[in-house]
Amino acid sequence: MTAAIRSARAVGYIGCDACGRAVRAPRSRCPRCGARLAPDGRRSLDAVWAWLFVGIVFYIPANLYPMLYSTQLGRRSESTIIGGAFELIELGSIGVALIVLIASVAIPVAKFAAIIWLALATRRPAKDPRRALHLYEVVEFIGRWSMIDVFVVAILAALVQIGFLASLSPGPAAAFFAISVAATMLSARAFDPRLIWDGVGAK
Amino acid sequence: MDAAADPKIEGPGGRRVSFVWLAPLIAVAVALFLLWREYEAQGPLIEISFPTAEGMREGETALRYRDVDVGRVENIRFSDDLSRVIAEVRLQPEVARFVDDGATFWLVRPEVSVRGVTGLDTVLSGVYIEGAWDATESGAKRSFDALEQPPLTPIGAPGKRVTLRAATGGSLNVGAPILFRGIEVGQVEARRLTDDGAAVEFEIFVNAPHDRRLTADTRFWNMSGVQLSIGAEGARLNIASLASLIQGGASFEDLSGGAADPVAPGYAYNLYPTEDDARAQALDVEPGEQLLLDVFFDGSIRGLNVGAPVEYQGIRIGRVASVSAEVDAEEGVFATRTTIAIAPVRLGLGEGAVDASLAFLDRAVARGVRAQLATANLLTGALLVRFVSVSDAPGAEAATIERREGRPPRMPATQTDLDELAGSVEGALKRVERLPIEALFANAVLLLENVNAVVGSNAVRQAPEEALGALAALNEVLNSEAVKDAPGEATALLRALRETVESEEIASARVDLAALLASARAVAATLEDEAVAADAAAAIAALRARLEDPALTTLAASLTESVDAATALLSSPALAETPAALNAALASLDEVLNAPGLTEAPEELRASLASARSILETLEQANTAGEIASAAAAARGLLDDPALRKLADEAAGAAAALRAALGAESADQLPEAAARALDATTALFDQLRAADIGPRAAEALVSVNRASGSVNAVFSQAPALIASLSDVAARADGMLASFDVGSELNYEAVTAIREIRDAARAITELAALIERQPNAFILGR
Repeated sequence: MTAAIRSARAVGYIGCDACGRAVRAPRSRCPRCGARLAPDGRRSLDAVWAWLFVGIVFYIPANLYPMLYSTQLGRRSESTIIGGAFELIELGSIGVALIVLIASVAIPVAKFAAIIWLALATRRPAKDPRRALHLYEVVEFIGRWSMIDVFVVAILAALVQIGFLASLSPGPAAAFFAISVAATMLSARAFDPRLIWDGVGAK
Repeated sequence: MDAAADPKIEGPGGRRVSFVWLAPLIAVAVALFLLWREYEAQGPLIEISFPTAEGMREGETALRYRDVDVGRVENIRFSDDLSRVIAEVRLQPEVARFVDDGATFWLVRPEVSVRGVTGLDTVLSGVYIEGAWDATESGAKRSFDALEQPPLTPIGAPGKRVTLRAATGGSLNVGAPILFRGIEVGQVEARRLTDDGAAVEFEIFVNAPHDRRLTADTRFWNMSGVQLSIGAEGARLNIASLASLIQGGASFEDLSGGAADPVAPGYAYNLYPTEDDARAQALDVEPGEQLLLDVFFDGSIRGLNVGAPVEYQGIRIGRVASVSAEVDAEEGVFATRTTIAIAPVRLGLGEGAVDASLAFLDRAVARGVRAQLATANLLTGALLVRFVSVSDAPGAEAATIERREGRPPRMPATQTDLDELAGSVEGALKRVERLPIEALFANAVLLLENVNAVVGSNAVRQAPEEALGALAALNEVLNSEAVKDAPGEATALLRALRETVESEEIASARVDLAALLASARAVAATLEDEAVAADAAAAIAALRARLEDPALTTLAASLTESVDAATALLSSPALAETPAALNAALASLDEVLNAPGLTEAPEELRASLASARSILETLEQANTAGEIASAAAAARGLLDDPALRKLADEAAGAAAALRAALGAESADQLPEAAARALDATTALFDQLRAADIGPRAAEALVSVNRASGSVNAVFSQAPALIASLSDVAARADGMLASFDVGSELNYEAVTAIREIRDAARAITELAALIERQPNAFILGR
């Protein structure tokens, strides 16, 4: 990057998180909106790590417990996320199986990895801050779409209730998965993208 | 860039741990809790070995105990030598401790057998493993062999297992019922050859409480299939239950009559082929406890079988043990030797009293008792042995029971009573001969021809089919829900109808209806002239009220008193001698009239008349005439009143009574009384004259005038009175109107009537429907 980049921080200003006003340091509150400013001008990475940890912890039972209980003609069967996807592949619905795998496995895992990478990357001046920012934006955007599996289970459980013939009910994994996704979203939100730029201009 | 350029924001100082780290702590706690719960809920894994994995699926097939899921097959694998399939079942922890040595497992699959259909539910839900164990904990066991068949008796069922032993397996199969007097009380659980192959052993289970009938004196016999036996007692056909036809069955009876103690489990019984055998064996005593005797009968003993009864005076005391021949080679004599076994118990001598029995028979033989062949059954020619007394028969030589070395004692025999035998046969034949067989046969032929004609007719041939069809249809009809419901609904309908008809509303409605109709008629009558009638009705009501006024009653009472006083006055002695007194009276009247005081009288009279006229005028002014007309109309209505008619009747009755009274003797005395009355009147007038009546009459007329004035005043109030009467009438009218459509009472009555009408119409419709479509009653509309 060119040395022409000068961050606000470099010239002694802090951006207010709430209203965006550039505040002249040192201050603890925004003079316009009264929002609390982070003590050293940046939000800490604590919240990022904490929520990420929650997300990963709950992602484990989400994959171990059954996502869906299905009863067909009195036969009760249960399927986990990955088990269900493989069943779909056996049944020939490769497309649906891919969607399930991408939405429920690939994206969450990629998100974990991306957040970890971003959090670690801010320790040193980024080599390619624009790419890091782009990654952050993608993670932020894609967060809500990870819930697709939970939505599918909720809708199916409501629709398929034909008594003895066939019925579906959500398993405990649905709740764990939802918590995991929510925690990941909080983690992404807690990340302060300005950290990416810190030190960029110090080269 | 140097560090000084970095903006420093003063804060609370010092780095503190953020609260956000609570979230992962909670997450870890939750995860640990789940882990712990999962571990806690994890029961032990047991292995059950099956010959095949028929229908079992990993993760799906359930283990059930009393039809409750208590485990699930997690894995299915082969045994090391591939000879069996091992299902690994994850037990639920709450039952795991009971699954011990006594636990058994078997696969439940649909099964159709003679005894019924079981496991139908597994057709849809798939097979499952059923387990059975008792409620005691005794050391865990983790590896089991499944039973090949479901156990016939539930684990822990109260009862007793015993063994039956028979020469052949026959048709008695596993699952066959054990019957006691035809009631199923147990079943055969297993059958197998004994180790030496000499016999078949059946393991049977008898349910409590029937297991207490299993005593040492209990005998079992085979009930399998159909049994036809022809013996000394004739032919006998035994058919047990349908299930026993196919599966066999065994029956038993406690011949001790419940006196003996129950046996221990595992007791071994003999299984006899027939009931007779079993019962005969009951007479069997141990060899040492029966008295064996040899009898040598002369002539043929054809028809005497082993087991034939030995009777003494009709009581069975033993049986024929064996029949054989004995040849005396030296003399060339062939003799038949019959060995009979006498049961001392049957002689009443107690068990094992062999010597006493022999001593008893010694004495009996000395008295002339001999063994003799007798016919047990004419049809089969079966013979029995009986002891008869021949002491009175001629030529009966003395004999004894001969003791023989190494052989049973020899009982002396006597000739078979062939005469009796022949005689009875001959008599029977003669009787047969005398039968009108020719005519019988002719009739029989005719009968058969007729029967043939009937049976051969098409109608008869179709009859069974039609009957079958009819029965099927009837069956369907009878089984249909509608028929089952119909009687109940009919009953309910009738009950409801009766309730409706008997209800108080209907009763009261009927009364109200009558009243309503009466009122309506009255109203109709008065409606001819509405206003007048209404007013008249009001007037009459008021009048009646007035008449019922207590004042009137007192008036009547005082009137009565006055009359009484008058009578007393009239009956006074002074009123005697009528004609003279009458003359005197007239004379005094004349005097009175000429008296000076009377001159004032006319004036007063005129005044009275004037006031009377004024009364009439007032009445006229008050439109009294109209009122009176209306009153008359109302009176006419009133006269229509049944009460009035009744009153009239009573009045007539009263008149009749009066006439009767007049016809009485006292009436004859009336002229005399009248004469006396006239006398009294004369005396009165005399007194009046004496009392200077003139001024008093004037006073009286004045007072009459006053009275007239007050009457006038009263009549001047008449319009008000009439108005109030009219008011009353209007109220009465309102009351009558309240009987009109819309009032609650009326509404209820009308509703009740309508309901009855509806019910009637519904019944009519139903009847019509059934008339049109009789099957509608059964099939519904």
